[in-house]
Amino acid sequence: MPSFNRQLWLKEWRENRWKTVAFALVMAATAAITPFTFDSVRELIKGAPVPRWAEGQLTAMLAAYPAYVWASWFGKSLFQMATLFLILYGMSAMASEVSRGTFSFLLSKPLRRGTILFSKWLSSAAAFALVTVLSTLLLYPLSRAAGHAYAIGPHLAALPMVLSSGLVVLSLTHVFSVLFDDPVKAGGAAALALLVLSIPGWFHGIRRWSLFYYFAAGPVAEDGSPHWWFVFLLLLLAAAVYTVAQRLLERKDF
Amino acid sequence: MVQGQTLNDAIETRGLTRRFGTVEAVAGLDLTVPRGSVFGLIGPNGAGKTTTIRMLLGLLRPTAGRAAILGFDLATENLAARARIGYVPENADLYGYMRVRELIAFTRGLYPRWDDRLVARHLDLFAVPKERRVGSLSRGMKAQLALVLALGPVPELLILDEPTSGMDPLARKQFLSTILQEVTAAGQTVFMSTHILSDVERVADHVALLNRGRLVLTDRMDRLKENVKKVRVVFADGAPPDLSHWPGVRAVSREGRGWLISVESRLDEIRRRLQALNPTYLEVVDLTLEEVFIDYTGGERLALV
Repeated sequence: MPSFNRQLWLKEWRENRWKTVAFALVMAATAAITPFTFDSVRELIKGAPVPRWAEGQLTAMLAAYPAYVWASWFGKSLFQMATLFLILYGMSAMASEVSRGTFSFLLSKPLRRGTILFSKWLSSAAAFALVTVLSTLLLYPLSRAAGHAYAIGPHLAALPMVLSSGLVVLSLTHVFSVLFDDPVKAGGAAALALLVLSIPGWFHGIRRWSLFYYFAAGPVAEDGSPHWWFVFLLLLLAAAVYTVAQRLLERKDF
Repeated sequence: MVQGQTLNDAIETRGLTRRFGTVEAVAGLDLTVPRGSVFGLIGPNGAGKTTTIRMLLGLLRPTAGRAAILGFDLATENLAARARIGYVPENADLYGYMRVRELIAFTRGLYPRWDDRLVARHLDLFAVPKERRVGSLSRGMKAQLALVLALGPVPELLILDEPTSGMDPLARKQFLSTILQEVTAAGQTVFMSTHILSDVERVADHVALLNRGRLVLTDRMDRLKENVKKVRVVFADGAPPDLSHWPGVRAVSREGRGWLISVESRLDEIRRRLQALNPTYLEVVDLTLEEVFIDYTGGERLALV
């Protein structure tokens, strides 16, 4: 069972605070804008030529606000922005300690390498979860204030899948942060790996093989169920990828 | 515990080796650092000093061999050893955005024990301002802060890797005085790597010399100064052909009309044998640590023809 150090956790929280503030502001702004864009997007699409392949999806999305808010929040904004910030969190976790020379300071202290990694991972995971949950909840009163109503139940049901998918992404970025001593290279490599993982999602027939199908809460969109079995599998995957990062860190020379 | 280690040893390595590809940075190092000693590890750049320290701290895994610190086997009890070690690296890379007091609070949370009064006293001693950002401190002040942080958990062993490099003479003097007065008085062991030999001469009571990853000399400082000498001699009837193989003779070189003999032990016996040969000139020359260092790292054993 990985252990964590409170001081280290707080230090990470402090180092990531501006990223977290930026992530929170971006998501709050997106949540604030989304209800007000529904009518204007519908008007815009009405007169515009729409390719035949996109016609059905667009019609379904713009038919009613609940479908629109789901598609724009879970289907686009949340997982895209979260992926970006998870890369930013992960790339600096270990690589920036090495690049600025402070990792020797940490490693000379009576801390297990696993404790260092887990404290960092947990800090980023907490920031990601906090912003994701709060901004998703914020969307509800803002929509009502703009005169749109939707059932919040499916949105709450989607959160476990979104969060567990995000943890897979976060663990993966930590693998690259251990592998590379330069945070920019670590971030670039993580982004490339995630791009590869997103490829099945580009094709309708194999989209279930893409991690981002689950990050966008695809299965929940189909029937409103939280799909706990998928959530469990995603958490297992996150744990497996995290374990790879930990093993690599334990074997690495500094 | 490494086989043969006694509880009096702060550090014990046996056959400690680290290779980087085909390069052997540290080769079969057998080193014993007694508890309570101030041990100077000297050697030219690239001798393997920092690699040795990184292995002792668990930052680098040995390719072969074993090491124990304060009785803890580094392969299995690394964490217990590190709880008892204070470490000051060559470049004190600390969290620059933190204020000094924040860094102290952070470091305090990483150790099972911490002496606040000792830290406050050392901060006063070095005049390190608590409210300054660490990044704005001078290099010397950062090294002093690193020493304060290393002494905070009251370590049984203090490891210093080139601690005074980049410091001005005054800061160096103050830094070394603190080590002498505070650390050694408390009975803690100091293991210091440096290429500033005057630092070692000033504070160390034991010394080891590394060259090209190999231990070429290790002894008590007083015994080293007593035993390691040079003898300048001019023979009336030529030098004995086996001079370089006499017990205690490390190297022999030609110097003008005479010979310069590097002696590493048995000085009295060598002097007696030389006097028996009726030399026209015989002088025993004391060596500074710097001369010993140059002799051992740059000299070659010359065979007499």
